[in-house]
Amino acid sequence: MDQENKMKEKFLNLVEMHQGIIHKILSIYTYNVEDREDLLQEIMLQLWKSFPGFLEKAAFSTWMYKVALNTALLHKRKKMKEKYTVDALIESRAQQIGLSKDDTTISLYMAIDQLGPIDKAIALLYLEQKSYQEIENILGMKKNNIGVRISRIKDKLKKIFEYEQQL
Amino acid sequence: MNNNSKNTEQEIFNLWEKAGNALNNQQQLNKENMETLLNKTSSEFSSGMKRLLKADAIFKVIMLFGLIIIAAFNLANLFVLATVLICIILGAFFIKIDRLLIEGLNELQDYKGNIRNFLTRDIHFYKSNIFRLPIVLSISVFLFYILGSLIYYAFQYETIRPVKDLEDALVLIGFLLFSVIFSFAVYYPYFLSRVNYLKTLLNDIDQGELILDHIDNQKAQKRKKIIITSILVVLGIIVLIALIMVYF
Repeated sequence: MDQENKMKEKFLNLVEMHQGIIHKILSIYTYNVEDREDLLQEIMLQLWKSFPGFLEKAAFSTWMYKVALNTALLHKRKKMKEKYTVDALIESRAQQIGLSKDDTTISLYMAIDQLGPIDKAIALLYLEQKSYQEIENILGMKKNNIGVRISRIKDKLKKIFEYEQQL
Repeated sequence: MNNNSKNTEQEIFNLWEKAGNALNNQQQLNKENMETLLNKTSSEFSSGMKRLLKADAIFKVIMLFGLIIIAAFNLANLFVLATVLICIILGAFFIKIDRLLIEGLNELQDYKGNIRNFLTRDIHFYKSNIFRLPIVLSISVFLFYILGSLIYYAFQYETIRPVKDLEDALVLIGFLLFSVIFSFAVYYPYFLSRVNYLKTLLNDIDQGELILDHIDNQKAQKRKKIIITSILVVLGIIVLIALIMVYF
C-alpha cells in the first residue's frame, strides 16, 4: 500500500510537471468542454494504468506524448466537429484556449482543425520543436517519411493560416 | 516570397507558444483533481470490452451454479447429469477464453514502443479475436436457455424428460445457432468498425501511398460486410421459420 502511494505520488508529480503536453493535445483533438473532460479523464487513466510499465530510462515527456496521443487518436468523440458552424467552432476554440475570438492564434487552431488525426499529431510535435528522432520514437514513422509529411503539413498550415487571416 | 514564407512559419511558432501559455494559465491540473480523475471509470473501447467479458464470465459462473443445483436435485436422472456435465465443460472452457481475452486486453494497455506498434498490436488483437469474441458471448445466452429450460421442466412437469426425438434436438440446435447468429449480428460489425478505424490510422502513419490500397480494402470490406450481413439475415430468418414451424 505504501509502495502504491509512493508510486502514485511520483506519478502525480510527474504529470503535474508535464501537464502542458496534455493541455496541448486536448486543445487540438477536442472541440467542446464535454469532450475535453472525457478525453482528459481517459488520458489520465491510461497514463496511470500504464505507469508501472514506464521505463525510467526513457524521458517521461516522450512516454507521455505516446500514451496521450494514442488515447486521443482512439478516443470516441461524443460530438463531431462537422456539427459545428465556423462561428461556433471559433467561439469554442477561443473559450477553450482562453483567448479572444479575434486573436490570430484562433486562425492557427482553425488551420490545425483541417488536418487528419495523424497529421495533427505530427503538427503538434513539429510545433513543439521535437527532433525527427523524437517524432520517430513517438509515432514510429521513418525519418524520411517524417520529413516529407512535415513539409506537406507546413505548406498546408501556412496556406490555411494565411487564408484564415484574410477572412 | 521565401522571406514571407519564413515569416509565416515563425509567426505560427510564436502563436503556438502563445496558445501554450494561455492554456497553461487557464487550465491547471492539481493533485486533487488528478486523483478525482483517476477514480473514475474508463470509457475507452478496450476497457469497455474488459468490463463486458468480466460480466460475461460472472454470468457463466452463475449459470453453471444454477445447473449444478438442478443436477443435485436430479441425481438419478442421467439426462440431466449428462447435460449439466456438458454445460460445465463448455462453460469452463469459455470462462477460460474470457480470462485469456481479458489478459490480452490488459496487454493492450502496455505502452512499450511507439504509436505505430500500439496500433499494429491492437489491430492484431481485434482481428484475431473478431470471431472468438461473439462466440464466447453467445455461449452465455445458450447456457441461460439450457438452465431456463431445465427449471421450466422441473417446475412445470416435476420431472425433466430427456431429448427423445428429432424435434427436441432441432429446437436445441436452433437456439444455439440463433444465439451465435444474434451475437455475431450485434458484435461483429462493432469489432469490424474498430479494426477498420485502427487500420485507417496505421495506413495514415505508413504514408500516403497506401491510401489507394486502403480505399480498395475499404471497398472489399464493405462488400464482405454486405455479404456477411445478408447471410446472417437469411440464416436468422431460416432459424426463425424453423422454430415457428416446430412450435406451431
